[in-house]
Amino acid sequence: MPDRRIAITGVGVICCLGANASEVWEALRAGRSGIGPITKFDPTGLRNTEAGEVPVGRGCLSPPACLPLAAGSGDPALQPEDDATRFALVAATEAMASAGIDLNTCDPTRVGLVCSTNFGGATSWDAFVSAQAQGESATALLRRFRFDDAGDEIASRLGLQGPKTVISNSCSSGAHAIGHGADLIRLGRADAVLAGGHDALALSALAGLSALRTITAEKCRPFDLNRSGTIFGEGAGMVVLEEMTAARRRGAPILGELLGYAVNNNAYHMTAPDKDGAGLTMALRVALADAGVSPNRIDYISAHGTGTSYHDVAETRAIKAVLGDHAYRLPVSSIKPATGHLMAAAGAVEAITCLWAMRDGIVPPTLNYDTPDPDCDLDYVPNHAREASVRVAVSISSGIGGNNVALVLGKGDA
Amino acid sequence: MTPRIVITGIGAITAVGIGDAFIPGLATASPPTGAEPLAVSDFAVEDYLDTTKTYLDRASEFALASANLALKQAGVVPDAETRWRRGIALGTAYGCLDTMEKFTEALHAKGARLANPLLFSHSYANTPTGLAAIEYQLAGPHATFCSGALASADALAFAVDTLRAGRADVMVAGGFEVLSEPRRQASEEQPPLGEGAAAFILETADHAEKRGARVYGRILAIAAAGPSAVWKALERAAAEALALARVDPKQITAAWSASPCRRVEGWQRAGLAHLIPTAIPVRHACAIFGSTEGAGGALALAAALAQPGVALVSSVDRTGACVCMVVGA
Repeated sequence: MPDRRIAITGVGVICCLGANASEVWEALRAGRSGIGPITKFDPTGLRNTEAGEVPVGRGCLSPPACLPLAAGSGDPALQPEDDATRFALVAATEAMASAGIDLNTCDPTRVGLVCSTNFGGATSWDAFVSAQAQGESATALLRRFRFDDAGDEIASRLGLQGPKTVISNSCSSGAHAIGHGADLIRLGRADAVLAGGHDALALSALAGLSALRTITAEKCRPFDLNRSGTIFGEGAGMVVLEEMTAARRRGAPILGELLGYAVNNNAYHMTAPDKDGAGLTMALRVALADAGVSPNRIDYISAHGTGTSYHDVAETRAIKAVLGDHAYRLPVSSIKPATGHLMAAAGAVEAITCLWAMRDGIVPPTLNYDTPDPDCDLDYVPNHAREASVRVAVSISSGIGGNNVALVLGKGDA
Repeated sequence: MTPRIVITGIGAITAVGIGDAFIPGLATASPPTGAEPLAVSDFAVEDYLDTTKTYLDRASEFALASANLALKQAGVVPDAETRWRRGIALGTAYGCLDTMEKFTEALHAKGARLANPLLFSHSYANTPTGLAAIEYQLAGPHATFCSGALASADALAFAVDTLRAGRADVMVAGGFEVLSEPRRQASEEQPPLGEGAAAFILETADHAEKRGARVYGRILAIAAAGPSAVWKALERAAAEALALARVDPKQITAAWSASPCRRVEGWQRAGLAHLIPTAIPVRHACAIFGSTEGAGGALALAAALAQPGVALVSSVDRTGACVCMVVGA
């Protein structure tokens, strides 16, 4: 892979904590959680009736209250119909605006797009199956369900004409999208890439995750002795990636740098993690080698930290296997109790969290942490944000199917 | 120097033939008539698996079987020692839609408390790729692309880039798509719909040579372009792929295309008109296999490799975005 430095010049986020990046970061550093009762569908029968919903009116759920500032989106009637696509469009629009990329003054064929999603337009899918059961035609609903619906909407509305793709690697998707987007720039296929993930809460997705007992019946408390599962959320996270020299030349804000990444698979089990964390260990090692960063240079780890019994142990073991004693000297936290597990968006939003931690010297807490677990014996930043000098951060993501991704991020100021 | 990428195994599951029957079937295939979907017949996943499965979506069956055929042809045996250096990337537009439908219908009928976890875990778009990774010990770089008609071409591009970057020694890459009632309803494709899968074993020429592998084809270059009015993106990507491959357009002996509908097929001829000799017909994968959307690029590549020469294989999606490969058989 050509040795080109990758700058991150724009970010966009929407989730239960807010409809833009600054709102979400403010809530995270304040230790607020956006988890609340599910209102968008009847949650009866789920293990937990709470989740991280984007509040109505914030995620363009009530147009035209927060129409994306995208070309061609001025007409409320032209709002995307599916929640997941709306979230993706909101985050994409914010990311492009914050990067200050003007497609009228650059070559749009050199601006690419890497979207990712677990469930596509899941709300449209649920509506489709319901309509079908009632004998109604619902072809339009099914078209909105397509995994590439959000990407096509973003490309069309924002005018991106570079390479465009969609990754579906379950809950590591958003992180993989960022790594893949960086590769497109390193390979010279694009000058800038908008990359990230999106997903929306829908009954079918939550019912399945509930049946798998991934969802806790109480609070999500990663790394805590009494953890019993995760809580899901919805939203999107998008970043703008550019080659560092070109970004500096145009005076772009350098929010951070993607130093390296790795993606792999446990090749072990579809739904259960490898308890030894072998896949995560290898992903961390390969990502650090790709970044040219030694383990003792890591200042913060944004953990996948789902709060599920086995995964948190596997992740802790992987961190210790790669970092050795240094693992005990750095903060490791999970924002999932605050945002909910954002599925494909999780890896992207957590990578963005690393950028904020580096910028402000504050690491977000792991909420709901009460009782230490001897098998999870690192510093998980319990319940309150903390000041910390962070120059290199790692964001870890995993997903159903055994996928793992590690992103190594730097401040980008050198 | 950029490592050369070779194909050392091909596994095709198609309506015209499976495995060794693919090339003879391709030679005698005639364009489909009528609107009846083109289904893969005489297929039983048990014929391709050493393990017994409780449940598999047909998409997972296709992924597992095509990967099995390709790995066997390449002589690549699952191996714990090298598993981190072997990866997989597959593409699909719709994933496991049939299982999604079964799961959701039962959910709506019985309620969330009785939702079926087995069906759910087999309904993810990345389930087939994950199952293949487990079955064949492919623990290295891993991806499922769901970019509509570009999906399997994107997966092949990811695999090529992964190998060139030295991130893996062997990549299984390709795509799958299966017939389902929801897909029939969702499709913007012209009938007939089709189904199928093709998986390829990719490795660097050096790696293949060291282990004495037979080479069935080479991927010389891949280029992609984003959404564009009609055929402009295709023209751009094809020109870039030819330049990267250092192939004079006059050397092209065949052109294959995969697209979701006949509207796009027209763009493809126009997009290539200025680049390759007009005497070279553009052959459409859907005229042989039916419209196989996410698998189209992989099936077009398998068809292109059935004939000697240098071929241009292009995939174009509903927005005009495309991926072009220059390949040598």
